[in-house]
Amino acid sequence: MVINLSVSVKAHSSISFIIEFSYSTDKIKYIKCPNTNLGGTGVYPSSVIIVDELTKRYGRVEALRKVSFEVGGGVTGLIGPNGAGKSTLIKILLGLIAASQGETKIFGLDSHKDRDKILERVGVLHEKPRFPSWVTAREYLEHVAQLKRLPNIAEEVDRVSEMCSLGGFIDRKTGTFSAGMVQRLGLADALIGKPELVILDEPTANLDPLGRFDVLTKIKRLKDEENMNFLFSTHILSELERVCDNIIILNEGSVLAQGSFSELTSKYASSKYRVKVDDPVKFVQNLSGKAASLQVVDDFVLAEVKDGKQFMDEVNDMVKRGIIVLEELTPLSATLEDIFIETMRRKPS
Amino acid sequence: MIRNRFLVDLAWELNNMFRFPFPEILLALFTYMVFLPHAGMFSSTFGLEYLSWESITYDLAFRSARNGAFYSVSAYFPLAILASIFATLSFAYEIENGLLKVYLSHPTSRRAIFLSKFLSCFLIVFTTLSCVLLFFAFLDIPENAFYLILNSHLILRMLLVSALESFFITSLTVCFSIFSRKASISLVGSFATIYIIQLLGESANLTFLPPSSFYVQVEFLLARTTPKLSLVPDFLVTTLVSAALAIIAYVYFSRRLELA
Repeated sequence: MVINLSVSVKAHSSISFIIEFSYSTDKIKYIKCPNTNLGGTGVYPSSVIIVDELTKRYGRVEALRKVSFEVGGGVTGLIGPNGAGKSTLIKILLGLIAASQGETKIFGLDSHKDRDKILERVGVLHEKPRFPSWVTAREYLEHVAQLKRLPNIAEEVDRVSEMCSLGGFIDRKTGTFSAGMVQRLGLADALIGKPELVILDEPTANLDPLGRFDVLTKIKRLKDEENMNFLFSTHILSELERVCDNIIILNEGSVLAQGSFSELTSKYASSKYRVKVDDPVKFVQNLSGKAASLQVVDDFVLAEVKDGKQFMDEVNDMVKRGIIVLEELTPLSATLEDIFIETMRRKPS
Repeated sequence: MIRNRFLVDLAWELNNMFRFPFPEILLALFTYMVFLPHAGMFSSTFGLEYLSWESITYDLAFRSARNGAFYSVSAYFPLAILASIFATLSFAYEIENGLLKVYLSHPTSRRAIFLSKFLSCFLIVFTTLSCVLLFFAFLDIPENAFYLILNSHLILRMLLVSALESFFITSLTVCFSIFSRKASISLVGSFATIYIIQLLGESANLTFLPPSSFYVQVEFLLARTTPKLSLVPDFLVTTLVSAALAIIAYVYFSRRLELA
């Protein structure tokens, strides 16, 4: 007698998989996890990256202190001031340095033990990348394609070189490249083979404004069209705003905040409003002490308030009592810079 | 297309090594060797006491083989300079300037990278040394070359001498290069270490230290009769030290090396 059984298992908040049993009289004939694209492991992680209680010490200095977070799909921005631990975190994720404590997983696989399997599916662009100066960009990319065991090496090299605007430089030795061209080659290196996850450390450094725009547009397109995931570390917050779905703010080795842009805006950013009234001076006098800051700019008042609802009630009250005549009230959206500054301001001492 | 990542890395490393002007390096080495006062120094070592044709030709081939092998030992010092340059460029330079970090961000293991770099350094040193060795073995007394070909096992023994010497030089320079992590320290330090070992060996007459130990290896591997057992410790010390250095370098590189 043969019994076929399919079981859905949730092993962890982020890992779930389906197991099929085929039972034949006295023994299990096979166990398989169907529809897997994870090298036969059968593990379906809903999180691309899991960092759990990660600590890294360099002697007495703690570069990372019990860092925990999960990164889902899409583009995740990793921001923080210099020395926050961003590059250390990326190096641990890639198995370049060992963690002192804790664990990191990419696609549900341990980033140290299963390093090779992970790197088959991950592309990396390091901060200030270096390439062997004595080879051409084509030779280098062909070598990377061979390591990634890509079937059509020449086609893939042509595809990424075109995507990263390497065209005219592809047969030149990398030693002759400008800083911007090195950055483009680094990007081509990271994108070759259409990896599922791309880790970018300062990807727009050394690029001119047009180059930056081009890179950000490509990231957005690759995310939307090729379903690629990105972990994006940068100091230029306005760039992240354009492409990021989620943000992780690191400071002094700890995660200060994480979440989607809208979550962080509602949690951290002060509400800002642009108000147009008949008498701005009277409006400011009535609200003094009730708002974080009030600025009269031309005919408008720019108000930054801690509690948006309370502010609206106050304005409503003034209108009802006839103190002012309200002509316009526009909520201004917070920028990532606002979130970052507010997060840093609120950090525990 | 090569599918094995170790072979991909090895091909890449060897290709990288050939950015150096090898014909010029070999020419410089031959010029250096020609002016060394070794030619014919062992010609009187063997009397033609055997009357059979085989014995005579064997003796002649043997003399050439030993001469070639001794030449290879004389090439130790310039080869050490060459090896320290290769090891420094393969390991310390790439660690220092971030190239290794970029290589290791691709799907290849540290083991594959270490072995490919080590092997490429070894192969380059071994090939260079073997060229010198065979050149002098065959051309020292050109008439003997034919007899040397007839006794091909002697060529293999000569190449074994070359391999053991190359293994020591490569292990020491690679080990120094990985631990120093800085190109300048690696270059000067590994060469200085080789020089100090040589001075120490010569001044204290320690035959187990290179390059004296290589002469012992020639005596052992190219002995006309059964080699003396008393040579065994001196023969083994350098080989064991080479293996230990290679293992230490491998373990540190694959498990402990952190790339900033």
